[in-house]
Amino acid sequence: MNMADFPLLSVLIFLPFVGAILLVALANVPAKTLHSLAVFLAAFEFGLSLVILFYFADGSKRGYYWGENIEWVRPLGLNYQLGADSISAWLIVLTTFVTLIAVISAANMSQRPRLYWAWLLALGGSIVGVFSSVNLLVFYVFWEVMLIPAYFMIGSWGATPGLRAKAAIRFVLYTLAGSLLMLIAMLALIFSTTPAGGTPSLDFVTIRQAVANLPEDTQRWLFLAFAAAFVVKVPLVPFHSWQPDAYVEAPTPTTVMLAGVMSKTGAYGFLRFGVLLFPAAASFYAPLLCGLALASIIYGALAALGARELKRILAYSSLSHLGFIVLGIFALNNQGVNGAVLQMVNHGITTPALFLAAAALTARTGTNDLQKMGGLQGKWPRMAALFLILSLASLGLPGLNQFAGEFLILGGAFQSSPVYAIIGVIGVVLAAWYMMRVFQGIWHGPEQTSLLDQQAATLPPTDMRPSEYALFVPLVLLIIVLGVAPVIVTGVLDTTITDWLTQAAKLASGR
Amino acid sequence: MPEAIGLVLLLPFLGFLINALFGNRLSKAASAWVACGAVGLAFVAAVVMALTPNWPNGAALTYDWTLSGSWKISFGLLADPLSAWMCLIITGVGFLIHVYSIGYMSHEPDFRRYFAYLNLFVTAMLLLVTSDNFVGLLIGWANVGLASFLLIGFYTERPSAVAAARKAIVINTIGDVGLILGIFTIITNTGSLTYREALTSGNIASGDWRNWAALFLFIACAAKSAQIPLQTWLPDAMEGPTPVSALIHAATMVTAGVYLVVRAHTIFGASEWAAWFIPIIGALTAFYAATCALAQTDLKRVLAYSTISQLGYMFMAAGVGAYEASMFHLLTHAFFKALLFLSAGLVIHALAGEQDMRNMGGLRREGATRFAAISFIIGALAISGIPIFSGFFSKEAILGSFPLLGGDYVLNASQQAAGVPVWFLALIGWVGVVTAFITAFYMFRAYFLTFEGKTRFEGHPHANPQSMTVPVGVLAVLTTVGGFLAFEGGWNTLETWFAPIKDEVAQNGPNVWRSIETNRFDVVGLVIGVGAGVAGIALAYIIYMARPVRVKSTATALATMADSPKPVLVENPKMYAAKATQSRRAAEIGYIDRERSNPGPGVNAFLRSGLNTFLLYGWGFDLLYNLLIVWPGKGTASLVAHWFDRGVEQAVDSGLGGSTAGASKAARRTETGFVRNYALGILLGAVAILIYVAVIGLQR
Repeated sequence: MNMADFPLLSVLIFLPFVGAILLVALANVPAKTLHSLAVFLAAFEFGLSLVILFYFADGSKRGYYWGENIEWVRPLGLNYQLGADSISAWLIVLTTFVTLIAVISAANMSQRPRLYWAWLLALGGSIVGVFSSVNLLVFYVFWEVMLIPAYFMIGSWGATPGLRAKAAIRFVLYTLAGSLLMLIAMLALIFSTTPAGGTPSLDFVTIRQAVANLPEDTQRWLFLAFAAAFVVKVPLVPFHSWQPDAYVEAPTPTTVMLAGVMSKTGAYGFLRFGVLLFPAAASFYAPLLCGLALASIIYGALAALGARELKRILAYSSLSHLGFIVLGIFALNNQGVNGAVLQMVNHGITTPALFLAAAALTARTGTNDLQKMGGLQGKWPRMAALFLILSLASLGLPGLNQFAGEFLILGGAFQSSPVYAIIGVIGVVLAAWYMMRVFQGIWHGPEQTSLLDQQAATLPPTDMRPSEYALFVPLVLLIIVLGVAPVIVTGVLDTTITDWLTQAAKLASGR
Repeated sequence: MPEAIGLVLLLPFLGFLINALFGNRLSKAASAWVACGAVGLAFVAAVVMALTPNWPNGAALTYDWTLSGSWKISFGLLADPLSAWMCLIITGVGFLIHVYSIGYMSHEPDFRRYFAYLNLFVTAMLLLVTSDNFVGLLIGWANVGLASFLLIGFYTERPSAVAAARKAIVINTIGDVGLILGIFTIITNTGSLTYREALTSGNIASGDWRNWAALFLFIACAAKSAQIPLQTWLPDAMEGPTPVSALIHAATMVTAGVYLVVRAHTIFGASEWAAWFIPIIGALTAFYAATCALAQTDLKRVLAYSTISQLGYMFMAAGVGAYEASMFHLLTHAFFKALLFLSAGLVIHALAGEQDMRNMGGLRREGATRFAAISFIIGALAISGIPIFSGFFSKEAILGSFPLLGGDYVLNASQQAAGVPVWFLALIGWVGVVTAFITAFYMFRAYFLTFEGKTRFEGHPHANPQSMTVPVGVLAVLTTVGGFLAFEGGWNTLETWFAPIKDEVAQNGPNVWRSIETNRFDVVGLVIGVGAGVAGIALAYIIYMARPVRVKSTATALATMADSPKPVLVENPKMYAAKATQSRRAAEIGYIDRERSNPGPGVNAFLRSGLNTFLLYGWGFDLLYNLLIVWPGKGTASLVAHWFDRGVEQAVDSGLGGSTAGASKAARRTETGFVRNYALGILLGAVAILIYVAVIGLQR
């Protein structure tokens, strides 16, 4: 029996749900033990997902592996279908990794911790589901399931009682509006591609062929409806209004999940169910989406430059970075797409680290406000060094991970149109400006400790704690390793992306 | 043994790691030993590497960095005459400055952090020059910028240092993205980013892309080497410790732009645009910065503007294909400018941090600073181009590349293609001559103000340790004899040295390389060049020594300002300017107020003032950029973050939950009921699908 016949993807999806149920059910076990259990499950999940990645590690596997296809309603072709190519593999590993980090960092949750950890695990499981669906309907189901844990975590565990409900509602309504359009498009797709009396198929590979035979107009409408869901999820300007408040209000482990992996589901959707499913329409609308991506890059950077609260700045910076990822995807060439997937991985490491570092700082200072901090380097030099490395990674310092992604993305955009790259690099310059404004604002200048809110601080004013070293050192090492040798990611992706794009080009022109 | 190139890079990196990770467990002496030892051994390795009869064909230590479709980018280290030349300068001068730092920084509590940064800088700079491809170059390029940022802002508690550091990293990032765009242009047109492939590609022979590549790359050069219009960060960079100014902002990092032009000379040489814009920008910057140096009152800022000016000189030469002259001046400049900075450092250290020349004077007569006076004057003579000193040879080599008096000047291929006339090159050359005159003048103005005339400082200068004076002595010797390095057999040494570079890449592009030998200068040119220097020194002597102008110390100047009612005099002028009005006055007389982040004058003060202020504040570039970019940028940013984005959010909220006032009520209602609605939504969706499924099923 081939190793890839084992239903590993299903295990990866449902293990966290089982864990979540366990956490809720084991009411009498002390919270500390349960947290260890949650961490153990997340770590085990991460380990399992590595199996999939190593399966693709030699970079030669083409197409989908680890396929599962269980007939659900037999004559109707409605199947529970999973599978992973090397793009999914990296994103699944990213998801399980970020989930692990989030669960670890949620150790000190004070309110209803068991339920919170359960939601975290459930969110991770559903996101793995999104990345491993090869059936449109299955994709849709996980896409919607993802909302539920996120909604509860923002709405019930959020920072400010008055605001969190608003943030959660805005988040859900925005997302729902987008995904309903996607659902309608899926139904329309089923109706329009099923031959009279034939069996409908929602299988990604089959339906790609069918899409190519649709009239051009239909393809474009369908693409736009799908894009509506993704553009909100990523998000891109001007569909981002839910994002800053959701990131700021959500407890940090949730923000880590939202910014680290959930935002990638939107980008992944654009790639798999936008560019690869509707290649002709995608290239027709590429200028529009590149425009939105560039708008997000610049708008997010400017907003980050103007904002005052640390977490909000990071949220806007994330908006700007996601703009780069979408720009890469709609460069519609190997470098752009490869860079985009690489950047999803990189951003999924750097951004959680930044949010966690910000939380660690806020726990000591009791404030999130940039103007109340200053000159803290003398007080906590090690934490200053951590912030420096993370800030540099985030602004794309060559040699650290995010540069490699930006380099390929901008290179792809440059080949698509030099103007895209020239506007894009303005975002890089602004990133240096706002990131250094934040870094220097907190750590340099005359020491300013009188404004810190000692009452609100939850940690004693000491430098990095051992548990924090344990969390951040691996992240920093990853940032450096992926910066020095991004080939670890791009090498695995290369064949897959080349194949997908070749097929897409054939489908787009073959009609 | 060219294989030693790996060690050259590895040793400073190890030094950095040790000081960065374990610095807090090391004593100051151990930390200094590690840092200096690493760079010293790297210098030995560089010598070993340079002592090779023939250079290797390929790069050493290669690995694939990234792979994406047709883009396969691999890294390696390239040992060739150009990289060896740069390695020797970086590690050699770098070692001397490391040793000097031990004494200069000895009072600093953050001693280990300083040496960690310094070793990081050396590592990045070595990566920049040893990389065999443009992406490796970019990584070094950006990381020297990072090290520069960290060291400019080393005194983190000082607002002026923090502001200067941020300015430096933002402007350097502009350069980095220019380099990125240049890289894209190169790889899309040659298919490779490795020098050996890209620079000798057949596509070099033709195409408009060469102009764009040259333009994009030059943005990077201008930012890193502080050329107009990206020069404004370098004078402010003087906020860093003085040894840093000597190493990074004079001898090595800022010359990276010149290195890139020479390294990628097949592209620059093949570009018709570059045949125009490089000499123009070089000459303009050389002249601009020299005039600015005339009015500076801060000793280090004189040297900073002087560095910008000398870099302009190097670009002038590189712009007409005189790459050897350019690299030669890069070397001698590294000697004499490091010497000048370190001499200035001796003074600053002796006066416990004073940098304003108005608060100096007569220092030659003090025992503690007599040595500094001698070493400074050697540096000043070299930069003025006085014979036997190294600057004389390299400056004459540059001026000799221009047809000062017309004559039988042979235009090179790209100049012919671009239609560059001889009179234009003569004009550029004469700008160089005028600059040489101004240079000699401001340098001796600085010397006379600092070391001669009336004593204007208080207290007694204290003596400098040997760790500081010995490196200065070595540099003084090198400054004196350094020019002869290239003199053996009439310039042949340099030509032989760089011959592999010239030959290797001249296959496809136009041959634009202008050897020093082909410009063997005549007596007339020599008289003009030396004459300009002598005249400048003479004029400075007349103005500042023979009929000494009255120079007021800053405290006196502030106290006696025309419109000042009665400022409170504090003993230390640095205590001044706690209040905004006082700070403004300080800005008007050019006193750098380190308690505040922006030392420049406002628009009104600038418009009201005369030529002196115009030059003092670098022709008002800072003000212009503030008006055009910084202030509008900040304004837009705060508009976006505080007004626009929040406004949209509120509009959305009121759209979702009725009025804004009712939003929270609505929120409370939905917080309990919403999820049921949502579940209902999913259910409806599922039902719709099932109905569809049923319909299809019935059709069968």
